[in-house]
Amino acid sequence: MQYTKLTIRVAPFLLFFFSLLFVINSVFVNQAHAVLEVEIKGGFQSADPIAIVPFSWSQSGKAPVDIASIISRDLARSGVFSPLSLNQLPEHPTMEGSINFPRWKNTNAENLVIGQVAAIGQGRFEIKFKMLDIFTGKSSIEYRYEVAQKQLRRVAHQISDQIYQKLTHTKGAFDTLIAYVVVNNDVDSKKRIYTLAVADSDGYSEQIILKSKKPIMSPIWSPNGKRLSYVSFEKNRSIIYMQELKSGKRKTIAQFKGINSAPAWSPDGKRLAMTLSKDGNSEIYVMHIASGVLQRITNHYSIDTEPAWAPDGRSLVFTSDRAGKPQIYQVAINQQGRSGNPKRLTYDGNYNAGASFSPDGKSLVLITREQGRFRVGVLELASRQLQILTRSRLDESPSFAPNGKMVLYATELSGRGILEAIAVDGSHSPQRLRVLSGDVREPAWSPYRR
Amino acid sequence: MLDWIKDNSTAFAIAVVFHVLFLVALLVNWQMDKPDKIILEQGDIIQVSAVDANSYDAEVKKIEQQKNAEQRKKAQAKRKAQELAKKKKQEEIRKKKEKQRKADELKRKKAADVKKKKEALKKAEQEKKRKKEAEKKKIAEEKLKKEKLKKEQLKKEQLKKAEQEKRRLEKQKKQQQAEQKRKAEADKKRQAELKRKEQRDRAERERRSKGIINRHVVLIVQKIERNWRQPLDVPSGLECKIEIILLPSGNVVSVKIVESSGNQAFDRSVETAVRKASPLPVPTDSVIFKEFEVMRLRFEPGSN
Repeated sequence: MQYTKLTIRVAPFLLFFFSLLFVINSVFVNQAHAVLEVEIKGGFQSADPIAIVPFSWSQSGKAPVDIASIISRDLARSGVFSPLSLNQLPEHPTMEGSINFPRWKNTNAENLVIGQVAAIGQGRFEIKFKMLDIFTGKSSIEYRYEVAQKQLRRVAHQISDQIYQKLTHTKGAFDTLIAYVVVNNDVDSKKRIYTLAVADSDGYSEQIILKSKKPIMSPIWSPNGKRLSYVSFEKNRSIIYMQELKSGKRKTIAQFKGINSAPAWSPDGKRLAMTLSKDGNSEIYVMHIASGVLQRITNHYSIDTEPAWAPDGRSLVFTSDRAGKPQIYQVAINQQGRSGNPKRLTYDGNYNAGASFSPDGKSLVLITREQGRFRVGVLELASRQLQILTRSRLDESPSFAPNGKMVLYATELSGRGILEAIAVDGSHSPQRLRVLSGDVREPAWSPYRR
Repeated sequence: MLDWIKDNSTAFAIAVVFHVLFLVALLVNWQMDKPDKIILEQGDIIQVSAVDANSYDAEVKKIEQQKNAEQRKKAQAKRKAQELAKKKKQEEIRKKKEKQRKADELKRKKAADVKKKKEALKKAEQEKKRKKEAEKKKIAEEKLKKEKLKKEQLKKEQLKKAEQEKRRLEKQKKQQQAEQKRKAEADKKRQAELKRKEQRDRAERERRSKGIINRHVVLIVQKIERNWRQPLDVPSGLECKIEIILLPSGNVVSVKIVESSGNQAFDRSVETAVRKASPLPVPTDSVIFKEFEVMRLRFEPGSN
């Protein structure tokens, strides 16, 4: 009886409560039902249109460095971006407050970069920049630098890296260096002059490392980016040197009988792979730099050369014509030397040479011959798919940018060697680096600067 | 006194008649008081004539009384003189005896004749006056009677009217009830019709709004696709789900990534595409817009 009473008393509340629940529930269901689900397929792939507005300059006259244009060219060269040209910019704001966003929405740009350069005395400069999302109006990156004049270009490359990183979620490789060899014809002596030089990744701020009347070949960067190894014929024979960039100090690494060529630094920086013919035939060796101890990696009557380390340091790839024509082979390596038999990696065409690993170790960049032309190709190791990146006639010495997104190589333009860079995805045309005087050859992209 | 009455019987009679008349008039007037009040509302003429009759009666009465008193006084004086003369004459009679008595007699006869003549004249006049009065009174009475009749008639008419009104009202009421009933039925019918129409309309609306929704979904998809620029090196098989909140203007208020593709650049391209496409072509109908307030979009790169 007690129970019944209680029920009776509670019932109205329950009823009210249930009806309330019902209402709430039905609303919720309705809402859940009301959410439209729509599928969007398609769209289009293209380089990211970005607007880089010329930075303001605190003094009268021209700024010592046009930072915006350096950034613009960096990003364009990457192939990932298509910066708006100056005449496509609807206005030139340099402060966030003066941006008229509706005007920018009419351009196809998605992001907007603005900045200011100011001379702050004692030869120092302050650079501020900001990137804003045109469609949200929000600032996505903001940085301030304070540097000496000679570092202004580097600041520009660092800004490019920030932008690249922010928008692609991949580390940028603009604040890096390239090493290359330039061959000039001396007008007076009518003799060739060879120069080993280092420059910013865009070819500017060139610094000469070595000048010689005899050939200089195969420059390569140490993993920490502080040294170069190269082959010089200055003593009328090939000798492998190692040179510290800052001090200019150098050390002879290999001056064996015969050929000493194609040095390649191991990822740990302790070993150097190279091609030696001291035993009669071109073979691949690994030298422990500290002790000078040599390990022979290949032993074949054909030519084995151009060794390159896998990023994990556990294998080398090299070029060999042991199958009749040059092809790429891979051999496993450990601290004691070779730990397996060379395996052939390339089967496309009858010429594949000069391979080097991508930073992630998943692919190789190499020179492949196609219809009698030497072009840059990327071999994906897992699928063994070879994608040809260039359309030129005589490409050589390809190397990956440290972020693996671009390849730097030398090619020929009207009988003269020039440097070009190309996005690895092959969707963008090659970007010519600053045209240097002379015949430019054998470029090598530095690791990230530390 | 009785003698006086005998002597002046005519005057007395006249006085009595006038008194009676006066009383009757008064009574009638008093009785009329009440109806008068009712009549007041009906018209002035009746009231005015009633008052006239009243005042007239009073006037007549007054004159009559005055006349009577004078006559009485006169008669008394005369009698006294006569008695005195009688006494003197009795001696004279004795002296003059018959001669003088005869002369007196003649004189008295003459005086009586004159008086008679005078009284007859007076009587005739009074009669005339009385007749006139009676006439007047009659007229007044008739008038009153008429008025009374009129009043009664009026009353009757009013009653009749009231009755009629009552009947009319009842009839009206009945009619109204019937009308109401009819109306209620019509309403019911109309409501049912309306309900049916509403159902039909709703179905139609739903059909139409479904059409509108579909059309706008297509428009929105097209606009976003036009604005969806993907990064160059997007791996295949990516998929990103977002939830967007829209304003009735079509402006995108918020973009929330519900399910990331795992590729941040790709996710960003999706978000930017929606923001770039903002305002989205949403339906202008505020009811249908509700369907678009929150949308879930699934992005998949096309094969290009």
